[in-house]
Formats: sequence, structure tokens, C-alpha cells
Amino acid sequence: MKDWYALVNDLETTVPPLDEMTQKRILRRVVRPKKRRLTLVALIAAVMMLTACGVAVVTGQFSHWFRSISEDVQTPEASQTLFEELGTVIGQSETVGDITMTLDGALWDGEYLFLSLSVEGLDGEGAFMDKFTSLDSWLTGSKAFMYGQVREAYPHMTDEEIEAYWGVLASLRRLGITYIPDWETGEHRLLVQQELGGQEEAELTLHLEHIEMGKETIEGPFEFTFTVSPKPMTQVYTGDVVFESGSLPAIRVTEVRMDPFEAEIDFTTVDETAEIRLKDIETGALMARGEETASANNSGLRTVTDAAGHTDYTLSYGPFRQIVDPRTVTAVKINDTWLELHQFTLQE
Amino acid sequence: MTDRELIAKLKTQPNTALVELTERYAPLASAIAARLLPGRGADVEEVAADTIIAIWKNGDKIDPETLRGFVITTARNLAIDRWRVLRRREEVPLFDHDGADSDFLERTVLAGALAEYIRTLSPPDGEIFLRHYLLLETAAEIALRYGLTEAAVRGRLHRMRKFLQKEVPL
Repeated sequence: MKDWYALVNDLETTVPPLDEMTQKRILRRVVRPKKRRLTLVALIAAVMMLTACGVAVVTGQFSHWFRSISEDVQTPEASQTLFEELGTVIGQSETVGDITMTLDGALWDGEYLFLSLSVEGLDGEGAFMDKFTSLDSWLTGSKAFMYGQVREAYPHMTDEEIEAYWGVLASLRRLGITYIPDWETGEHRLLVQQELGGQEEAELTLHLEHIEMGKETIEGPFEFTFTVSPKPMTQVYTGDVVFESGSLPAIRVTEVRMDPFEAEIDFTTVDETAEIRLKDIETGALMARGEETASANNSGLRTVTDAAGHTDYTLSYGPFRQIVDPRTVTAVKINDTWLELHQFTLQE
Repeated sequence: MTDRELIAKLKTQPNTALVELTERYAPLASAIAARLLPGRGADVEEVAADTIIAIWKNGDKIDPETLRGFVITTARNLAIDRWRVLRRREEVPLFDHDGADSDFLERTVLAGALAEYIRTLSPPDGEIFLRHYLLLETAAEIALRYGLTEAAVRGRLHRMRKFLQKEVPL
């Protein structure tokens, strides 16, 4: 090849100049090489869908805002279409003192809500890149909406009890707030995460105040009121599959529900006398596009036992640390064994 | 800063060197790629970025005196790889609207024997070959540069292809 370098080295050719934006994009690709490429057709289709809904979309923004929870953090743009299917552009800014916060966008699949905010005026030197809980920050909605949230969280409470404690129950506290610095651009970002069930459009208010992030504190208060619609993407698989894994008693799986941030598995024990406890089950993983992915932060086990002593179980994994396109999931790992979804029927 | 100094800087100040390499050679790499991938901005940018990365990865082996030639040849090869995939999906046109040319471009390996042959050609045939198959200039552009007709350029390219396919191991 060196012969060729010498042959063409001195040949003059026409080289149109590159505009500044193109030059910057190329440099960004050099610094962060891509493993996968979002097909241009899919991206155009997603942008057209959102602009038809009257939402101003800047291509690539969702993958930038929610980079830390993208399917592959090295190539966040590969999740752009998935984010746009779940996302809502908000674009509200507020300044308190030297700090300006902008609530850029939201993701809500009807189960988990993620909000991405950019922060200007922050030093960030002493802030830890970690998830924090701010007792002075909260998320709330209309009374009807919050009533539903309380009902789901405290199913044993009567209406009178809910009314009596309404002042305490009216907001969701202990929001998960993660500080995410972008060392390349110098941008500071907060990701707010909250388990939030819902099936209809909701007007929500986010209040952020006294967020301690290691040695750095954002005092605020900042408050944003916005409307967001749930965009469920649940894949429901039904069937009757006997599953065994190591020392776990054999179970009969009847339904698997896959969401972008959670997986749920309904089952009973084959031996009616056997009992399953959460400690019997290790945190699972998912198989998507041929790769093991989406380890979960925690799992839960719900049980409902009828008068005859028959117990129905629901095992849940989530929220995942990275978003998963539920349409690409082919198996769920329970302990060390994969539960293959092709054994079930996907409900339309 | 000379290309030699820029290559040396890749070891001591790689971030700064990459920015300067991109400023200096991304336009050339993009121009080469765009000739084969018209209207495909993202693909062109990716070829340009991959070319710069190739400089970074091969810094120790590149002769700084022919760095520009490395950029041209690497961008050309990367663009052909991408073009090959897109041709199968019929998403890009034939090279210079010529089927035989496209076939030659796609199949011909830049072997040393071919380079030797090009050196033996009388001017401007050698340059015509290099401009068309390395710099990916069209026959019309080459004709304008050398004061020939487009038909004459295509005729010379055709004769060279015929000779190569018969006499030079490719």
C-alpha cells in the first residue's frame, strides 16, 4: 500500500471546505467511535412521527439526554428511536441564583418515569457521580392521579385513612436523582427516576431542593409543572411452561411481561406444597439481540394465596440500569437458567 | 506544523493532535468519500472519522512524507467498503454511472504489481488512472483538467482496464 501513498500523495484535487458543525461531528465520532449505527430510515420515521404530533424534535436529543440509561452507553444514539417512542420533549428552564436548570425531556412507559435535566452554573468539582436521595425534593400530580399512586403503594389503606394522611401521601418523595457529568463537553446533567404507574396523561410537578451530591449541593428550589403521557410498550407472553433451575422448586410459568425497564413473571409451584421465597431467587438478566443485558437493581416477589391455600407468585426484575427494547428480548434468566420466551405465545 | 510534527504529536499530545488532524484531513477524506457516497452525509462523516482514527492507530508505521497519500487511499478504501454494502441494497448509484467501472473499482485490489504498472504508463495515463480509481474523480472532471473530451478519458480508462485484466495479476 505504501507504493500507492507515494503515487497519490502529490496529486492535487478539489476539496470543498467543511462547515463547522460537520467538522465538530466528525471530531466527536473520532473521539467516540461507534460500534453500531442507527439506520437513517428508522430515525427519519421517528422524527416524522413526533413532528406530526406537534412536538419539535431535534434529532439525537433523547439519546443525549438519557445517555446514561441507553442500551449501550458507548453508542447512545443507537437507542434514539426507542427513546423517542417513550419520550416527551419538555424544555422548561428556571434560574435560582447562579444555577439554571432545564427540564429537557421525560421517558414514561407507564411503569417508570425518567426526567433529564441539564444544569448550568454548577462547579461539579466535588460532586459524586452517583444516585442521591433528596428528602426536600418531590414529584406530585393531580389529586385523582396521586390517589391512584397511593392506592397502588398502600393497598391495605382505607379511603378514610388516605384522606387523613393526605398531606403526607400527596407527593412522591425519595426520588432517585443521579448526577451525570459529561467530561468531554463539560455539561452537568441530573437524571430523576421514579416508579410511577399510570395509563393516562398526567400533569406533574417536580420540585427539586437541597440536593446534596457529595461535596456539592444544589439548593434551589426549582419547580417544573409539565404534562406527560405514558407510552406503554409491554410485551405480554402467555403459556404453560414448566421451568427448573438448580435448587429452585419446579415452577409453572403462565405469563411473562416485558417492559423497557422491568420484567415480571407469573408462576405457581408444580408441587403445591412447595414454597418459594425471594431469597431463593437471584437477580436475573435478559437476553436481547443475542447478548446478555440489563441486570436489575433489585427484584421483588408478590404472592397471593387463596382460601384453598393455592399461591400465585409474581417475580419482578427492575428497574434495569439500562433501557431494553422489550421487543428484542428472547429470554429471561432465573438463577442460572434461561427461560426462553419462544415457548410462550406473544399476545397482540 | 508539518505532517511529521503532527504525527509525532500523536504520542505526546494525542487529544490536541487528533483535533488538528481532523481539521487538516477530514475535508479531504470527506471529499473522497462523498464522490462515491453522494447524499449520504452520515456515511461520509463516518468514513472521515475512521480515516483519522486509522492515522492515530498507524502513526508508528506511516511515513509522514506521504501522510496525504495515506489519507486518500484509506478514505477511498473505507468508502468502497461502505459503497459495496449499499450497492447491494441499491441505495447508491454506480461509480461514475458506469457498470464496468463500478465492477473494476469494487473488485480490483491495490496490489504492488498494479502500482508498478501505473508507474510505467506514459503521462497523463498514470495520473488519469490514479485520479479516477484512487481519488474517485469522474471522467468529466478529469477531462476538464487535462483538456480532453470525456469520451477520450473513458476510452483510455477502458484500455487500461483491459490491459490490467489480461497482463497484470490482480
